[in-house]
Amino acid sequence: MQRDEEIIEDFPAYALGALDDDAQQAVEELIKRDADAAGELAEMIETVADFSAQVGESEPPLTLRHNLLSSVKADVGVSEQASAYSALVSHLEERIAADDVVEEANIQGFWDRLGGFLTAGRLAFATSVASLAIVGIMAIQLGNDNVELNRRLAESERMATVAYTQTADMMEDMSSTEQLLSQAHARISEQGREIMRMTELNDALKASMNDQISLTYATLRNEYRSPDWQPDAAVSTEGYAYLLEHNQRQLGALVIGGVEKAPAGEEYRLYLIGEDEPHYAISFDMNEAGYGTVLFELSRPLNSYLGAHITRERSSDPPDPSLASLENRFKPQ
Amino acid sequence: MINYQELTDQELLAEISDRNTDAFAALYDRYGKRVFGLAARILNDAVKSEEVTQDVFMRVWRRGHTYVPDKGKFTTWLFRIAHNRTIDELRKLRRDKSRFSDDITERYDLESDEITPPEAAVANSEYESVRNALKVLPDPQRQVVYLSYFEGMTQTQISESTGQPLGTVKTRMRLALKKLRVALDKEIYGDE
Repeated sequence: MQRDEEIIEDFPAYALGALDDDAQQAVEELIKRDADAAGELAEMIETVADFSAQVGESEPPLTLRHNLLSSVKADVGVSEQASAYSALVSHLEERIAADDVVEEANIQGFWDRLGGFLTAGRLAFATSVASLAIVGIMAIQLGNDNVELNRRLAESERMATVAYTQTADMMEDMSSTEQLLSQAHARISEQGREIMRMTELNDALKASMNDQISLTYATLRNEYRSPDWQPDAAVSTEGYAYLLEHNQRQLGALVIGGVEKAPAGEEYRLYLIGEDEPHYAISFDMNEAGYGTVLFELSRPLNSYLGAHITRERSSDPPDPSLASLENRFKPQ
Repeated sequence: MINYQELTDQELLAEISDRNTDAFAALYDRYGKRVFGLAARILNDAVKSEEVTQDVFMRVWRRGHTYVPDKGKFTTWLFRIAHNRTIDELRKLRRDKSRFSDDITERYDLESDEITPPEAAVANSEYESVRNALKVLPDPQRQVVYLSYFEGMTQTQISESTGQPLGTVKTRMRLALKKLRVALDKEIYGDE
């Protein structure tokens, strides 16, 4: 058991909110019986509260004010309903009490008129009547409560019906949404299949175009067959050579056949002859079969050249495109 | 048409006792920022501070009739509720989050230059009066005020955590409150 002096020592902690529950309770009990102590504590509490009031302002969220006002207005609404109900109950109680008085007066007149009954019997009868009256009042009260309960029940039922209807509507909406989703899913699947078909068609088209390009390469060639091509002892008389030009890329192709493989240390070279000096195009060798196609880069259209020379030279010699040089070198013409 | 802004706190409270929501709104407009500010500075949590502020004002609405003017100013009653509610929330948060430091002594090492959170809150306070009031306290007294008021520690916890005898903690609290009273009177009322 703490002495009062000890409890008073706890006042500052009480004011600062720094006491545990037991010590706090001891302080509260002391100030109930000691006005001086209560005054001392009140000063300390005021100091801390003044300090609290000065700690700082911060702007609370706007929703806080709105929520608070909504809460208190709702509270007012509930209170008004409770007051109205309470008034109704009071009124009914007054009515019941008035009826009871009338009933009691009638009973009294009855007894006055009859008289002579034994007092004990009268009392017993009166008690029974009073009991019946109380039961009656309670029944009426219960009846009133029952009416109110029924009203609330009806209201609840009505709200439940509304909620049920709303739920049913929502379920219907959900069902419609599911159908729409299903339809959308089917359309997406159909579109997916369509995309696959289009991809296949696209691949087929690409293949077809490649074929066409190949075909074009072959058919739309700008063919050049050397007019000077002549059989030579060094090459097969069956030999042939002609040039093709790619119609989309700057590429030429030398299609050559009937030419033997070059001896070791030598290679064939293609020179294109334009208005100016011949241009070295590419070096190549023949395979064992003596024919093949050699691709080379074209810096200008093939038909801008006047002709072509194919020479066989030592691999170690650098290409020499001068006409004089070409004239002196082997050529299979 | 009543201008509720011009009514005194007690007049507003009387209206509130009669379920006047306009008076309640005016009282909230008058003190809402301070109550929220107090909670925010101690809790450092906007959501919890909002909850605390809502609870405090709902208590004013429902229990305003229990305020007895003879026992003190309305603001004493209001901020007593606000601080107690805030400290309750702080202790609850600590229980929930176990965020209480094991080494309070280090956290509040007065030899250190490091500013502790509540000190920072007060240092940042726009209320010079609070800064000035706390400045008048010697460090040991300021420490017990911080730990109890801003950190929600009981005097027993302060004693255990700082190693100070319980009697010393009590004495420091008492002295601190006396000095705070004088300092606040000077700041608020201009008393010499």
